[in-house]
Amino acid sequence: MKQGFVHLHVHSTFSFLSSTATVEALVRRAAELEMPALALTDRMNVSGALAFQKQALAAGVRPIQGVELVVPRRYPAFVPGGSTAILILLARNPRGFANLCRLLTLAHTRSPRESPCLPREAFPDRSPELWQDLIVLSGGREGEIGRLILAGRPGEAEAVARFFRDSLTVFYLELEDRRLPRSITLNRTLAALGEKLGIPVVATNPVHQLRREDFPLYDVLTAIRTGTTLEEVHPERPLNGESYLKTSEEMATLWAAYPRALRATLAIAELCEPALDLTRPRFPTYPLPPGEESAASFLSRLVEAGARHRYGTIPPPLAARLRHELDVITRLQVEDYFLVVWDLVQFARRQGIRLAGRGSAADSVVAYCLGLTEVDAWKRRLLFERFLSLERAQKPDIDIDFAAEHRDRVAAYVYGKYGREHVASVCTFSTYHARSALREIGKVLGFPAEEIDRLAKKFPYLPSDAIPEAVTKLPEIRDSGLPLERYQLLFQLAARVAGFPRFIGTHLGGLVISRDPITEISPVQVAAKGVDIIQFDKDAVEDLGLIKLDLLSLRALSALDQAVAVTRAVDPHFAEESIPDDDEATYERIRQGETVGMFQLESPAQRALQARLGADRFEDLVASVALIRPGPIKGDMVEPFLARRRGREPVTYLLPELEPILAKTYGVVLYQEQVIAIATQVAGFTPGEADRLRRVMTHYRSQKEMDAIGGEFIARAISRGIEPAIARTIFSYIVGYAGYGFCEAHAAAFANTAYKTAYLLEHYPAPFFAALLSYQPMGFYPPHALVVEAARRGIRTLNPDVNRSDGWRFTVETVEGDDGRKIQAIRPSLLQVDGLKEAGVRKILAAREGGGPFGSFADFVRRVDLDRDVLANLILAGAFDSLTRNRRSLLFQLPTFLNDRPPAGPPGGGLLPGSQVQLHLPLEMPPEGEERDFTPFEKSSREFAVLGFSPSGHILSFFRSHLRKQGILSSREVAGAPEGARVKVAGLLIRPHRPPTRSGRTVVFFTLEDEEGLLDVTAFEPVYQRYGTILFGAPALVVAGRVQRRGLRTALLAEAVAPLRLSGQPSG
Amino acid sequence: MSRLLHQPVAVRCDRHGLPLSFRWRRSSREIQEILDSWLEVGSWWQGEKPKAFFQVRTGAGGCYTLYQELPNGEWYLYRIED
Repeated sequence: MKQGFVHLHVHSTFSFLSSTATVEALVRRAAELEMPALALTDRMNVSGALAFQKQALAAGVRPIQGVELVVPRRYPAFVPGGSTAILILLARNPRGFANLCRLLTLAHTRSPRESPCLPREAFPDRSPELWQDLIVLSGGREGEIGRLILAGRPGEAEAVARFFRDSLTVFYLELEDRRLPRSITLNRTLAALGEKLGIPVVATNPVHQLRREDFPLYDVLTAIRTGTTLEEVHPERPLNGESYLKTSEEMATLWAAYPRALRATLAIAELCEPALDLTRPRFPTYPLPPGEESAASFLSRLVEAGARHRYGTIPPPLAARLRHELDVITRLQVEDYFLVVWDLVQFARRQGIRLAGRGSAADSVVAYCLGLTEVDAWKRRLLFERFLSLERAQKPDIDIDFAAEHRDRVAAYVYGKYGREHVASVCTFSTYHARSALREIGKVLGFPAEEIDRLAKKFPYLPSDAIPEAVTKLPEIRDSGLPLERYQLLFQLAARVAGFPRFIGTHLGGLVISRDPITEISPVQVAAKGVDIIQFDKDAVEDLGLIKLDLLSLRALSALDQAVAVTRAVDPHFAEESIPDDDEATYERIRQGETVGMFQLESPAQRALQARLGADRFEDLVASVALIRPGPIKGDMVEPFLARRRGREPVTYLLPELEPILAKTYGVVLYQEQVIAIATQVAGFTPGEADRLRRVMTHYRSQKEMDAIGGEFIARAISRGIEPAIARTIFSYIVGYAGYGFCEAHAAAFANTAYKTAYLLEHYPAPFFAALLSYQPMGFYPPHALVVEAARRGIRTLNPDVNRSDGWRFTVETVEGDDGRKIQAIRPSLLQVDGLKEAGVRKILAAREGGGPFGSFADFVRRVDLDRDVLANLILAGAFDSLTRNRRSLLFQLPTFLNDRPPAGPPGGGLLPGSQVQLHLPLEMPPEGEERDFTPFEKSSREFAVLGFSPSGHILSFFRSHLRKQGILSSREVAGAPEGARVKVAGLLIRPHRPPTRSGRTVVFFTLEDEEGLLDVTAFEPVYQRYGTILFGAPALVVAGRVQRRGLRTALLAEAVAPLRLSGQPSG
Repeated sequence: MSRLLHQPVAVRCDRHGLPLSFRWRRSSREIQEILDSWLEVGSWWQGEKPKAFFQVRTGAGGCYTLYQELPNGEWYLYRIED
């Protein structure tokens, strides 16, 4: 008869560098081995619990939720790690799981973040209520009893065993034999102790790998965790590969002398039921104002008021739509969620915090009326069912962007309103990708850090299991000249950690609010950012009965805020609310493809699209946002759309019913909402059923599923009188596009912001560029490209100035242009200077506000205590130019100024000035009496180093005459060259990237920047294969190629590429 | 006190591969009891083979540690404890 066994001490990859086995692989293997149940006991977390329960139940394996808990020892040993031990806790039921979460929360929140450990007051003798419905195993060799026995302290081991026996309801002594030294003695002693004290024994095989042969990877992960190389010794390094998921037969053989220990595994499994309760709604009830009867009636009242505000009068069809939405909301019991979001949006508006709802929530008229979104779903005829439907019965997901620097204030409001015990951030799991895997495993294998750095930097952002293919296919790696054969073991190991969670972090926007204390649903721990996080990620929270609030921070909104504020300062007549919907000059700018800086419209692909699209209305922007996505590009939707939009192809419809649905996209299926509408109109699907169709096609999982829903669509269309051939054609039509379609509501929400940025860029470019530069990194282009683009628009960028610069933001000034006329210029912030952190900026501002403008450099040094390197950077940035023009001389005199500085303030103010002077003196002293300043080129290159751009002139401008002699044109000259002309052009390389293509072949897009502007370049596969090492390795390039003109835009098709080597004497 | 040896020895095993006796200094030593056994993988990245260690007590009361290179490889006397 088959001997039964259940593994009760099992680590998955969620034990973070302590296991090579994923939850999915563990469950699959347990099912293969016909094990009736399986426990998951990750170290100090339950992050894998949801996937584990769902997958185990689906595989017919009973899931036992547990954890490996670190506890303080009662009898510590004075060796490293000797003050803690482990216990294995298994939850019998949801109550047990809630206790497990409470214990983990106490461990995480009451001890140092990096070494969580249960506090003594939570031990079962002091807090017995926390240990109800839990089964506790002693922890084998790593438990205190095991450790004391191995240390030859049997009396103390017995005392600990008595303590747990007497204070716990269900306690087992854990026997394990992973063929480690002294296992035989340890198990004999534990069995005898159990006999003596009446404590049952149970057999485990602490699992850290799925199979024996996974040992090298487990060893490598342990070395990463312990910060050692393979050659170094560490007590936590595993001795052998026996920590794997052994079969029942193997365990029966191993434990033949202890049959009771084997049977105990089955008995424990019998006691445990699936402990995650996935049936209870956990979202809080919104605290209603006095006099309000219910959330539903309050919501209804708010929506009606909002509708009157938005629309004035409410015609019957609109009223019906609102009733329908409210009915779905009420039947899904998510009224409170809408009220919670409404409330925090109200707070943000009261505080003047800019916000914008995004995502499918913009399909809801209710959301629009509540002010959660700015997309008029009624006017746009958007389908509510893309957002919420009874059939899908999914929880709503309302994503709201807030101006970046204010997002945390909104989150703080939520914490304050619902209480810290009910609110936490959703976590994220940082997983291994190619670079991180190569770096960490390379270090463990003993490669020098510089060598691994060189290798890792060659890899683009790839999952680590794509490394072997990348090594043979990507020329920048294949032809790099690196000794790739040396790295075979590294590549193999790195490929195997793909997707392994590396550490837990904070989701940027996701908050959950719970009705019950959140620590009953998930353990809470403090993330590196200092915020409370739960141990589940965004994909898990809905199954747990929680609803995520996505409060995102968007720098574009901050930039828009600043641009509006500065614009209002320079033009008191400007009002954001008065921006016209159809400003011709704005659309003309967009049609020129001059969209650098516009939200969502600035990438090279967008600029190429705009130059051909001929945008003249808001709908074009909505379509643009939706079109330039991997899906539509891969699905080849761009060309058919353009052909119809520009009138080169007739706009036709297979059925007249399709016209109202597809008219706005010229007969092309572009939006997900259109798929739903087609299924509703043509096949008579309910909107919810139609959304299921969309989801099947979007998340294409099996042909069988696709065929089934296709058959249903066609049959129902035919039953409604549609010709079979037309029904089939329409279905093929939506199959071809639906998977690539984009949510119209989301596109429209983004297009709103995009249009505002476009209007400001057209009419108020100086405030707009100043705002963009204030909130870097943001958007597609680095600051130096924005400075070049601003210059092309006639806006000069000045040097920062210790007396004039704002601390935090770029500002706009009026200065005299070269021709004597007044022009607008941008003054960089002090914060832009490399090395000058917030504290340094505050010091300068405080000194300036307290004592007036600085009169000289010496005055500055006397009044502001900054270290030498920062002062040097300020000099190089030109921040003292208004006080003394000679930067070079000032730099050389810096040590003298520092020596003359008065002593530093009270302790805590940093290093003494005397000691700072002793730090680096990298510059050669000039000959006595020499007063030469840096040359303009020297100034420019140093500015670039400390500011990220060069107010004194673009680096290429100093070499233009040399470049011209080599036949190299400027970007403006290329724009004037005829189509097809062969030209050479040079520039700084911006963002080479390889988006997915329909053919699957690699096409590299990049931008070259010179002193006159930006030029987009395309390199097809053969050019990429030949020059890939340069394209992804050189900071500046010379590209030879053919001039392309598509629409109003000039681009270059690369034929040859070389790194740009600036030679000769720079001019100036 | 113990001495490290790392010397090849001939070992007679039972059907499970457990050592029963070994020859050392021209005499056969019967194993009275296996006191401990463990498995070490060693420097796998350098191609080192895993080893199964056995700490045994012989009939004459000596305490020895033997190891076998896996799978089914040579036996060595690793250590003698005085």
